[in-house]
This record gives sequence, structure tokens and C-alpha cells, in this order.
Amino acid sequence: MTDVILSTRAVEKSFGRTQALHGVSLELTRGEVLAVTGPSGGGKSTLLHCLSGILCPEAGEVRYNGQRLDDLAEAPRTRLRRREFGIVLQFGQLVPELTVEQNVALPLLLEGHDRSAARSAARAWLDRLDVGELAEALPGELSGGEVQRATLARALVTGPQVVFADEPTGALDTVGGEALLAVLLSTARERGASVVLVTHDNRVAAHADREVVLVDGSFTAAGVRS
Amino acid sequence: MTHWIAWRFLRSAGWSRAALLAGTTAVATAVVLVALTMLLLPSEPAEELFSLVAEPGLRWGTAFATALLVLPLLLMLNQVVRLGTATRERRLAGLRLAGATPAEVRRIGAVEVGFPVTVGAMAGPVVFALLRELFGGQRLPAGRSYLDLRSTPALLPPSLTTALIPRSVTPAWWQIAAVVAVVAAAGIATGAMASRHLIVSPLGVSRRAQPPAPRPWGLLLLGAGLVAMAAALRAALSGTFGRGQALMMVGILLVVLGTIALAPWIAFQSGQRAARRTSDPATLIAAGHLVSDPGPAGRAAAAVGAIGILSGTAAVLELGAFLGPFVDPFLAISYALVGVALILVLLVTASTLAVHAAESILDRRRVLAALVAAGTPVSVLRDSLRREAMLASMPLSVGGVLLGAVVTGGVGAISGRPVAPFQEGLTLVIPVLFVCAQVIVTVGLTWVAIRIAIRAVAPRLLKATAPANLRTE
Repeated sequence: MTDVILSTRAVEKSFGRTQALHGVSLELTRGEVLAVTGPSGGGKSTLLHCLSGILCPEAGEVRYNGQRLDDLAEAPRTRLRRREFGIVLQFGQLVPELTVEQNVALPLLLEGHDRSAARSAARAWLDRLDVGELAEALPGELSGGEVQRATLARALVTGPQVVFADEPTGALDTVGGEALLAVLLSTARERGASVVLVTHDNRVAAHADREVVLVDGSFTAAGVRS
Repeated sequence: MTHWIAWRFLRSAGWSRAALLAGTTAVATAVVLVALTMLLLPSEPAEELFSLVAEPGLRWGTAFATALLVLPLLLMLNQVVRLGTATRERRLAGLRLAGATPAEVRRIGAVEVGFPVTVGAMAGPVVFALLRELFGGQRLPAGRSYLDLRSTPALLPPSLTTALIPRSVTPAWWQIAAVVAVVAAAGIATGAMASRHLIVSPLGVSRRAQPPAPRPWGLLLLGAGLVAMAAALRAALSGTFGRGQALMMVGILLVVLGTIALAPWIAFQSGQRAARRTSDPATLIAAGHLVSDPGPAGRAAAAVGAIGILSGTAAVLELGAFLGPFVDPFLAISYALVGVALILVLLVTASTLAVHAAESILDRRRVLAALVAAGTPVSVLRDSLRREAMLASMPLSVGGVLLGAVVTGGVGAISGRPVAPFQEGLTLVIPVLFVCAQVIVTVGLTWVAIRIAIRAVAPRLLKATAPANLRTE
């Protein structure tokens, strides 16, 4: 199928004697929002790390736009993550010593953009996510929701094709979580980007087009929502 | 009960940290004992020693310079104490959650540093004995009182150039005990200083406040040091050499302490300027880290300033010695010894920078792992560590050499005995070029020290950026 953007086939991954993924196969289509749910320790984050090229599986394959990800060396995989993927983690993990604007501009500076272009692009994304007035603040001065919005701006600033979000609302209250999710999904849909959403919260998963449940490293159920 | 927990914590903090703490304190204690032994020598020693130690007029200065070597070791100790701070803070918060009072937590925290530091200080006399075996004085030839090498350069036996620690005198037991106690107390105080901003609550450890931007208070010490040196010169010119010598030592001590105190401010200024101008991601990350917490990086690099001052002083003195009609072997060997001391301090500084970089990596491993996950190459993070060290060290290195050269040259010129003799045809250009060359050499050596330090911690950086660190702890 030509609109498959990311796929895995029989992926195996273990940490020591713990088998985290057992022959996981999955396809993600362009523009699709996929929720990966399941209990803690089920392998959700490991799957996200394999899909995004952060980890390489021991067996099986991961393809992005038809290209084997797991065959790539570390440097081209890192460049691919920076250009094609956006990553949002539970606690944001912004660089605490840089201002919010510098954090968002960082991927563009790494791409070789000049300082003023990177800053104005960062500012535009921060404005769009309603945290523009916090551009000069340090991450430590922000609330959890504001940090996550800034993290989302950093993930989107390079125009990614796939956004990976690992428990993005895990550290937020219900209202804050809903608001962040709404921004994430509307922005992704508007840009035609796919989203892989790892969560153990059914309310969050309910926003996805499709949900897969991972228990002990294997899928137990898959559903498609209208 | 408290002691049992403290012992368990000491073990879980890792033996390598304890060994580093103990080792650094042992060497510091030995260095103080060496300086003390030099001062205990009678005016006519019953052994052959190099003139810098044997001559009563030079001995005080040599002992003082030896004692100054303790400063880079204390700066190293300050960094080692901070090693593993994040893990220690989690352990202490766990204790509070289990019901320990703040006082009990403070006591347990103190044992973690106090025990290895005390063991190290107690091992200091053994290190001193070893050093004395290696660099001890030699038995006097029959019929001689003591050898003045400066007056009889032809008699300079090569083995005597390393005869630097007296064997004929040994500090009394109470003097050794006092040195051990003082160095152990200094180590424990360094540990307490490193965690003075922490509030340990059952829910975690927080800082009392974001540390304020450092202020250039060190300039006061620096200024006081220069005034003391000028007063020393005045005293020497008026014939009161003893007072002049004491004032000069006070002046040098104040200048060195001033440079160390200024180091965090210089690191902050340097980081702030770089952050405003750069579009390079590695420099931006480095500058941001420096500006947010300039203290540790500044203190790690502080010894570079002292190296610069010594290097600048040596440059001007060497110029004076080597442009003279003949090269005095005593001076040549003395400068060589200064060079060796500089290299040793540089090695300690490289280790201090490596320990600082290691702690910085450990402390920020989740952020570093997230940056790599988002597409930042590890090489950019490695460059950022190197640039952080460079931003903190290089201004100190250049400034130190210039300060040392200008002060030494100025002292010589004012006293009417210029250290760089202006012979016929010799213009100001040559001393300036010589000092510039010394700046290049010192900056080059600092650069090498930084490269060594960052290369040493590269495996830790790789480990810190592993995806396992993305997980919630």
C-alpha cells in the first residue's frame, strides 16, 4: 500500500533476559493517529523507541517510507529523526538552561538554519501554541502544560511527517491534558502528519483513529474507530 | 542506626567516588606536610638539598609555593564531592520519606563525605613518606656543612635537582595530627559548601533558590593582593626584606584567591556573551549551562587562572634570566621545576574538569537522552561539553598570563631592577612577543587539558544518552 508511512515486521527486542517485544508487526498510514495502549511494562515505550529509530530491534524490520530504519547507522538515523519525526515525552525534557525559544529553535540550528530564521520560526510555533509570551522564560519557570506545549512546538518546528508522543498528558491534569491533546491532534491533522500516541489512559486513546493493545510485548487487540 | 545507614549510603555512592575523595585528600595532606617540613629546617641543614629549599632566604617562598599546590586539590575535591549529586539527593529524600529528621539527614550526608576525607587525610603521612623517599635530601659529604649551589654552580650534581624534601627533620606527632585534622576539616567544609543550598524534603530535594548571578567580588581580593605586593616592594626597597617577603606572600595568596573567586563570574560573563551571539547548537547548549549555573564550571576551571599567573610570571623572569650575559644553572633548574609544577597543576585541573563534566552528564542524563532521541547527534553534545570548559577556562588562561607578566614586569621596573634587561638593540617588542608566545603555550596546554578531560568522559556521555534514560525514574 503506497500510503503506509511506517511499518514493522516481526520486531523482537529484549533487555537482558526480559523480552520486551515478541514479533510485533504494525502498519501506520499517512495522516493516521494510532494509539498504543496496555499496562505498564507491556512494551509500549520500547515499541515507540523502535518505530522512531531510537532503538534498533534484534530481529524483524522497521521501515519508514519503504526504507529500512534498523539498517541505518546511528548518524543517518539521528538526522532522519530530526528532519522527519517529532518526539514528545511525558515530562517534556526541554534543556533547562536554555530559554523556551532557544529550545524550540535548537532542531533548526542543528539543521544549519541561521539564528534569526530559527528564532522567528520558533517564535511562530510558540505563538501558535499560545505560549509565545513565554519565549524568553526558562523551562523551570513554566507550568507542566506550558512545558508540554513548548515541547510540542519543538517537535513540530521541523515539519515532521510522524509525531511520536509517549504519555504526553501523563504529567498533566485532565483539563490540561485534553487541551494539549487537542492542539497536538489538530496541528498534526492540519499538516497531514501521522501520530503514534503511547498511553495507558483510555480517554486519551479514544482520540485516536485506531488503537492497538500491547501486553507482555505482543498485541492482544486492535480496533479501528470511525 | 544512623551510622549503619550512612555506611550503606557510602557503599552505594560507589567506591570510586570514595577513593577519589580519599586520594585527593591524602595528596593534599602530604603537600602540606612537605611545606611544613621545609619550614622546620634549621638555617644550616644537615643534608644536601636543592638551593630553593636549602637557602633560608628562598625556603619560605618555596614552602609557600608548595602549600599553594593544595588549592587546585581543594578545587578538585569540590568537584568530586558533587559527583553523583542527583542520586544522593534521591536517597536523602527517600530517608526523609521514611521518617528521618532534617538533622539526621544532614548527619548521614556528612558521613558520606567525611569518612573518605578523614581516611584520606590519615593516609596523607604515608604519601608524604613516599614522596620523601623519592625526592628526599642527600647525606652531606664529610667535612661540608651544606652545599650552596648558587655560589658553586659547577658542583651541581644532577641528582640534587630532585632533592627537595628534607629528611633530617620530621614534623612532631602533634604537628602531623594538626595537619591531618585541618585538611580533613577543609574537605568536610568543602562538602558542606557544595550542598548548602539544598532543602531535603520527603518529596524530593529542592534548591533554596536559583543561585544569583555571580558578582565580581574577587576583584577586591585581586586589588588587595596587588596593593600588598606594592607594599612588599616598598618594604624591600627600604631594606626591610623580612617584612617585604611576608607581604609578597600575602599579596600572591590574595591574587590567586581573587582569581579563583572571580572564576565563576568570568564563566558567567563568557557564557552570556556566547549565548547572545552564537547560532551554533553546541555553543548554545554550553553557554546556556554556564549561565544557569556558573559556579561549578567556574571553580573547575579556576586553577587555570592560577596556572596563567604563574606562567606569565615565569615568562618575564625567564626572559630576564636568558637574555643575561650567562645562563645561571640554578635559575635554569628553578624554572624547570616551576614548569614541572605547572604541568602537575594542569593535570590536576584536567582531572577536575573531567570530574565536573562527568557530574554534569550524570545530572542531565534524561535531558541529554531526550535531545539525542529528538535528533541531536552525540557529537554535538560532546562539543558542548568541550566548549563549556573552553568558555570557562580560556579567558582565565589569557588573563592570568597577562596579569602575571604585567605584575612581575611592573615590580621589576618600579624596583629599578627590570627583570627583562633592555640591552642595546633590544626593544619592547621582544618582551611583548615573548609574553604572547607564553599566552599561546598556556592556552595550548589548557586546550590539551580540556581535550583529555572530555575524551575521558566520552564513554559516560554515550551511556547517558542511551534510550533507557528516557524512562521515568
